[in-house]
Amino acid sequence: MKGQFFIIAAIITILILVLIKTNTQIGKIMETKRYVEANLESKELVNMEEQLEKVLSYSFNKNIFSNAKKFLRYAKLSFFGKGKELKILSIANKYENAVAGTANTLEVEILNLLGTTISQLNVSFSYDFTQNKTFENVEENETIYTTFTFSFTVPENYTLYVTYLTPSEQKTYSVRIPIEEGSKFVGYFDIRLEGFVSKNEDEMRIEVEIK
Amino acid sequence: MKGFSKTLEAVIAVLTIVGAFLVIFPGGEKPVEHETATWKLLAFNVLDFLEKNNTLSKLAVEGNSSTIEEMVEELLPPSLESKVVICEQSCEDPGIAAEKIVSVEYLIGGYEQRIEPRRVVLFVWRAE
Repeated sequence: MKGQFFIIAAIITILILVLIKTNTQIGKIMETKRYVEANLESKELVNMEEQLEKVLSYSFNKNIFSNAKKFLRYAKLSFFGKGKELKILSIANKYENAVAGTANTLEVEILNLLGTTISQLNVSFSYDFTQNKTFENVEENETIYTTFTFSFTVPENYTLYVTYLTPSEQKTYSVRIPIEEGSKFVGYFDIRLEGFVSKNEDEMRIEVEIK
Repeated sequence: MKGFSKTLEAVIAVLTIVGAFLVIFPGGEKPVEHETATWKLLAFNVLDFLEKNNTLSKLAVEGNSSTIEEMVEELLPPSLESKVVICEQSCEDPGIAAEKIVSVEYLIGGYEQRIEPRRVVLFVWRAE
């Protein structure tokens, strides 16, 4: 029995080596798959953003608000179908046929796709802070529409401030709105993708000349 | 004689360990098998390439999956087979029987004349 000890020790050593090898391989596979999956999830977000940009640029002549909403809702559902969560707050603004020296209207449409109810939403426009608007209990998938009046003599930049409050966060966005004669769309989108292995976030501002 | 047999067993044990080590950890080790993950990335990049070439959106909205399939085939390595499914709401099951299969989904917003969102799903598996 004493002599066989070497053989038994050898077998145990080999088993340990096999275990080390197997664990290392599984670790490597998991790590690689995780890396590739994270890479893919970030590409999926970019894909969604690029398509949103396309939708808006193709909508330069009509239905820009409704096309944006339709696409964002579709994208959210499509990610939901893959077991991933896409959260969006969309702030869509436009003015049409603005003329210097006259009263013009800025239309603002805010779509809540954050996956939770916004308990309080505040919207104000730097042209005139007295036109401040407050909305309460904006449900998931609900749209808020409001307008602001402005006038100008020369092209100018104003800012739209949007502040929201949910059970988990409070956030404020400042959206630059260039004012000049003609028609313009300015969209601001807070996009967050919660995938299987990664979380990707981005805020994008898209400006489109409306014709 | 007893000492000799002990020494012999020790030598056998050492040789066994060395042999096993060489088998378990061979030199010039091949990269770890992760081909399905690579297929996914490859498939997504192929769809992205077609979209950047301004061909995917129009074909997808028009429901022309066979033309997309032909283009995809040209871009994928010959060792892989593929199938394209275009989905508006729910997606049909392509009914592919393969041991290893992956799928990726590419979002489309539409094209200039038709702003209608679609999903292009590309299935990839090893050619028989």
